[in-house]
Amino acid sequence: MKKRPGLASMTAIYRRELLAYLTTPTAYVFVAVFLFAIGLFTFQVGGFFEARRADLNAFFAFHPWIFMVFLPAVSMRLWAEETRSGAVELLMTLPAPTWSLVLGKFLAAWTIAAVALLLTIPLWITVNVLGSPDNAAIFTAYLASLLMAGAYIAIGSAMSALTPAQVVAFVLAVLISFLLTALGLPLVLDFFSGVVGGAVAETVARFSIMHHFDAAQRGVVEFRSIFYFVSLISLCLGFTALAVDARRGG
Amino acid sequence: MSARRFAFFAALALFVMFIAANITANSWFRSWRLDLTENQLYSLSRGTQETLNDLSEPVELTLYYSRDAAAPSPQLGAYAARVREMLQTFAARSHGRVRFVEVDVEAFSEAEDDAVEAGIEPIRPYEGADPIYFGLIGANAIDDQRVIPFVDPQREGFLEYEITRLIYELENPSRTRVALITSLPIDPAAAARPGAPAGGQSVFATELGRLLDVTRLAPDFTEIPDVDVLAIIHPGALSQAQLYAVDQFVLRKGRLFLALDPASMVSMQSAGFDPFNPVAPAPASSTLEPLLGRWGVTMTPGVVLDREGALEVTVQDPATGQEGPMPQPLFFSVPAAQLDREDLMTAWLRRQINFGLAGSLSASERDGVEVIPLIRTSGQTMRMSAQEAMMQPSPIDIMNRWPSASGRIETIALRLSGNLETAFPEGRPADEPAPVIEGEAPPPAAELPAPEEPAEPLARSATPAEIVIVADTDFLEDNFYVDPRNGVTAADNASFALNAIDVLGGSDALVSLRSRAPSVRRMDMVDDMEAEAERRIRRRQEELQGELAETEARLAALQERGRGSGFFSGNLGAELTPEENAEIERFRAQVVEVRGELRRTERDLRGDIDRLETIVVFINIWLAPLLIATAGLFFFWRRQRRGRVRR
Repeated sequence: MKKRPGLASMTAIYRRELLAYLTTPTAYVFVAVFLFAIGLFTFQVGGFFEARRADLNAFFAFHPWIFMVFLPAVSMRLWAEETRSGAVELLMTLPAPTWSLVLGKFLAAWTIAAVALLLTIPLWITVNVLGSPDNAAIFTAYLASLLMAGAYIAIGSAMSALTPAQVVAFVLAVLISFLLTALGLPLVLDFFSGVVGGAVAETVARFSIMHHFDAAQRGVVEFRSIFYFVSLISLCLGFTALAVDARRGG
Repeated sequence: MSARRFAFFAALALFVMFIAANITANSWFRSWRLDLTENQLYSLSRGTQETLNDLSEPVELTLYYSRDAAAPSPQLGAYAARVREMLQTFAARSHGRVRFVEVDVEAFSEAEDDAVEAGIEPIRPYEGADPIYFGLIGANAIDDQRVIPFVDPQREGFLEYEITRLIYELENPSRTRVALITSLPIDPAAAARPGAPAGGQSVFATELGRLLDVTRLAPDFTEIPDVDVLAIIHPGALSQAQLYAVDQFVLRKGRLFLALDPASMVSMQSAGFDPFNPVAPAPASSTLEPLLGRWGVTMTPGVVLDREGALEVTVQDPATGQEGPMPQPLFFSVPAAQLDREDLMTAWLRRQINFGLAGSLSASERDGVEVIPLIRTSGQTMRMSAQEAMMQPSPIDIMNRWPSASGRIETIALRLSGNLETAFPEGRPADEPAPVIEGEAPPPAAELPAPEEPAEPLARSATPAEIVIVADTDFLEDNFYVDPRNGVTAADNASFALNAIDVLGGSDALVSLRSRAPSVRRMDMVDDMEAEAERRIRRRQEELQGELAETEARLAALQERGRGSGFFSGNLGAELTPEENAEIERFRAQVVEVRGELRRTERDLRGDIDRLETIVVFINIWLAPLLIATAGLFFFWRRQRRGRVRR
């Protein structure tokens, strides 16, 4: 059976991007830093061992904050690097639909995030050795974390497509990620409820990444949270495609 | 339109769609959720769902929570999130009849006044701290209120039950009505009368009257009024007609709390039974045959002794003639851990329940009937005839006769649920005069609704039965769990019985609720290590403390002698020989040494946990990043080398 051209080009782009990650030390450094940071936060700030609780709450609690910095760093090069190196010209002339390029690159970066998450499995094993945690809840939290990582990467991808400078892409992505994460903080909500009233504040909170990650962290899969993450990813990838198309179309 | 302009408008459209879709999804898919936790911690039980479905009036639940004051306590914060989540679930599943509001209570605010006025009790984590309000108020359309003054994290397992119960009470505001049949001097009506002195009443009887709407039936009752629960506590001899009335009540309403006793010490004392008189009257036992047999339940005629839970009594040692405390297995306590940890009647009890001369229950399997043991003994038991137990043989005699093979775990209380059949298949028995039950004359019965007796006698349950049977009645006596000096309860005897009757008085939906295991799971391995270290430290401390005390005592004696009197007083050592002075120095050094060893012991034993922590930290913080970084560097180096070779 003949592969559909869009799908084929997406796979090709995905492979090329993944290889680019694996053959340069950047991805390794990022993943190592991520693992170190998440471990440090879990144990030093979250007090994982001192709390004596057989769950991974102290671990997952820091995911939004670490992803917020780590994932824009992974995704900043997705388009900005192409523009800098001039490879983007070649990419633009490829007979491939824009969505396949956008999706291929996004999936490659998401794979790196998935690998980074997978490498935290020793902590899951540790907590099982130390006690008997609710593994179904932990599994759910991992899936939610992966979905959340997708959202941050999509934001990074959009910012990377908007600007040719990697650093600018990184800073913009961190800023937007921070806003979307912090929307769920009591501090921000208090401010909103003071200015525009509680009902609006509640609606605003529903657009916070943290808000949707919270339930999943406890082992509850909410359809509206899945919907939120998927729609956020779609929105950002849509922005990316529009930015790329705008460039293609001159 | 230029490509850039198009992109801008398209992006704007996408953004608006995103916002609109999420706002819609948030309300449409509110209840689309999948609870993957092991114990379904975040799902509502069938019983709760039924209660919500049956709601006829809207209910508003207001959670008062001091967010700022509670901020330094992340555990309380996490629990508040859990409570909020649960209340949101209630609201989401109530078809719009339950509304949930949260009020952030700040110090010196109007919300604080409202909370205090409604009866919400603040807690202060430490002296001088801002008060933390964490309570729940339920109100219905006619402004009836029910309050949970403090949503205690310790009772997480009962959170769903307590909220459901609050909603149920708003819908059904009257107190649970209980009909009581007893031959014991229990008079809840006296306790219920305002201003009545509680003197002479047991704590159980007083609380029963205070919490529930109880009517004691006259000894010659012939029918049971239409109440929520029937409580039978040591009934004495019931006539066939009375047993038939009980039988029909159980088939019609299904709610029965039954406490029987193979050997009731209270009855024995009130009948003037003399344990040392061999021709004493037969032990005051109670039963409810043929009903019990029909339900498939058997109570042993003898009593159960538990060696592991034996309570201490003062006995005279025959060898020395001295009096001293000794464990008496006739009286035993069942620790909280041996109670059913899932049933609402026993799960929240934190203390033991004490029994005396209790019997044992067993149940045969019946279709459609479920039997759950609520209270069970340890595995170190033996049985004894009721008559012999009444003589209260000395613990020494009992221990001498204790069988070498381990006993069996006996059931002291059980809960029976399901559909039952009548013990009177022939219908109403022929009338006979009711037996006169000894004891206090019951107070005149209040106006009670007449039973809704169907024209035809019931042959099987019209409502699935929920029956709690306890094989002891003495456990309700004050001297089994109340400290006579200060009136403080030392065990959960009364709490268990009251809780059981209270739960039975709820709706079918409420009764079906089970406790949920708390969501906090512990690192058992570390806890065990800590407990073991603690044990070893304590053992070593005891040894060393003994040594230290001995050394210090000898040192003190020598010093005392050294101080002497008269002119040299105060000049330590002036009256001691050089050897004695050397001895003092040696003792002092020994004291320092022992104290040092105590500290070292503690440090060494805690070292195991520290080592474990170091390993865990190393694996999870350092190992993976180091491996990844090394792999990255290796690939980079290999690529560089290949590049150089190619060049």
